[in-house]
Amino acid sequence: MNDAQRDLIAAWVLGELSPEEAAAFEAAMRTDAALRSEALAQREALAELALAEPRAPSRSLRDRVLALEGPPPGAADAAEVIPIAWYRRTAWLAVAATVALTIALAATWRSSQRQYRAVVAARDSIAAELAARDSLLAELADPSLRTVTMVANAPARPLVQLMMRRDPRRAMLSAAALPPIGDDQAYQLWFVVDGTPQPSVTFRPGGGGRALSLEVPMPESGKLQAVAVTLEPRGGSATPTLPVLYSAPLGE
Amino acid sequence: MNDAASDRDLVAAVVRREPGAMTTLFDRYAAGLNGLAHRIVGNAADAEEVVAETFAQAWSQAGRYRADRGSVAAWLVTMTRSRALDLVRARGRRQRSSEAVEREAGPSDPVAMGSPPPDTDQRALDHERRTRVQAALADLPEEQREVLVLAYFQGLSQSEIAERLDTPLGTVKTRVRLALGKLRGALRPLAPEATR
Repeated sequence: MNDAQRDLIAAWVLGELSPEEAAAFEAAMRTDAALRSEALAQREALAELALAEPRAPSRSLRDRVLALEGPPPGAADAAEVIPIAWYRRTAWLAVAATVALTIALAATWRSSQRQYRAVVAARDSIAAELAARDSLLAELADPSLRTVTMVANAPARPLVQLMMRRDPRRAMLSAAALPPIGDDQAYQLWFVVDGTPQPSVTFRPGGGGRALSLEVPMPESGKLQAVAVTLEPRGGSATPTLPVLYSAPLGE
Repeated sequence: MNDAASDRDLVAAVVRREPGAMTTLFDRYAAGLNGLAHRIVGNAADAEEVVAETFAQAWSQAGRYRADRGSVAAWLVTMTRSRALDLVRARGRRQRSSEAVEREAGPSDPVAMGSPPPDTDQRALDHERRTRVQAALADLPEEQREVLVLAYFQGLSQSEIAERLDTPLGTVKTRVRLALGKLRGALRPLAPEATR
């Protein structure tokens, strides 16, 4: 093996190759056993180097990661984060249905003008709703979107997720399997900014303990350190009522 | 490092969404990945954010893991390192902030409580790994160790290292090449076969 090959291996294991270069190198690895053996061995050696100074993770990190597995069997309805595929199918079916209806009514336009105008108005309303949903889908598909999952500090395993964009600062909240609460109560979201909790939206669980808030105001400035959810009186509070039910660090 | 076949079976279990698979994967690698992330980003909160995102990616992309491209450990380490370096670059910092103030969690902080301690076998494995790696690094000449740390933990390209050290690029490439070769040789017994 010559120095040029070894330099290429070094660049690969250190992540210096572009995606195209890495793909070409990995293709070469598949046909060159010596190249592959050396490259993989160096990658493994670096992995050993990387893992040599372990640092115990916090319990909140552990809970947060394990929440990926979802609620345990037998729990309330499984968490249902906004199902994008369902939205897409419904959106396109609605468009197709709207178009088909418009064409059919145009054929009988002379005999039912008033009915046609009413349908056009309904079509426009649907189109506006679809535009809003497309905007939501674009938000969700944005690669800069960051999802933060909060885990319960209590034994139950509801799922609370906050989907945030940094620029501009906007967020959406989705929750499932929330425990029921009294008529005079509401869950409230807090952003911890520079050590101080700032109030945000309140929300109440619906069917299946689900809640969805599409427009979550975020603090305009300051260092976002964490998000948390508490149980408050129905109109919300200016300061949080302990205990914190769900939380996640943001680490800004 | 854990048995490679066991790790591959574990990832396959994650793909099948078997209960407990993710727990085992986390307990096996979170501490090591957290240490790596912390060494790169310089503070505990960001390190844990990186680790959380790594496991989220592992969860969603477990089906894409390929044993012919390396061990599960190398797969996780690569994701963690990449995310940690991206975070540092996004902050605009090019060197690990050893002066960064650690965010200390007080008893009232609900997001930072201790994790279960590693089991005895994992502790023994961690100790053995640390001993061997320290010995391997100690055997490297200082200039080779220096470029390896700059390249791996700070994510500098070899060109950037050459500029920082005011050293010809060819010299840096030679040092990196030699360092990686020696590391590979010293840690050979720990590195499992990545392919079957």
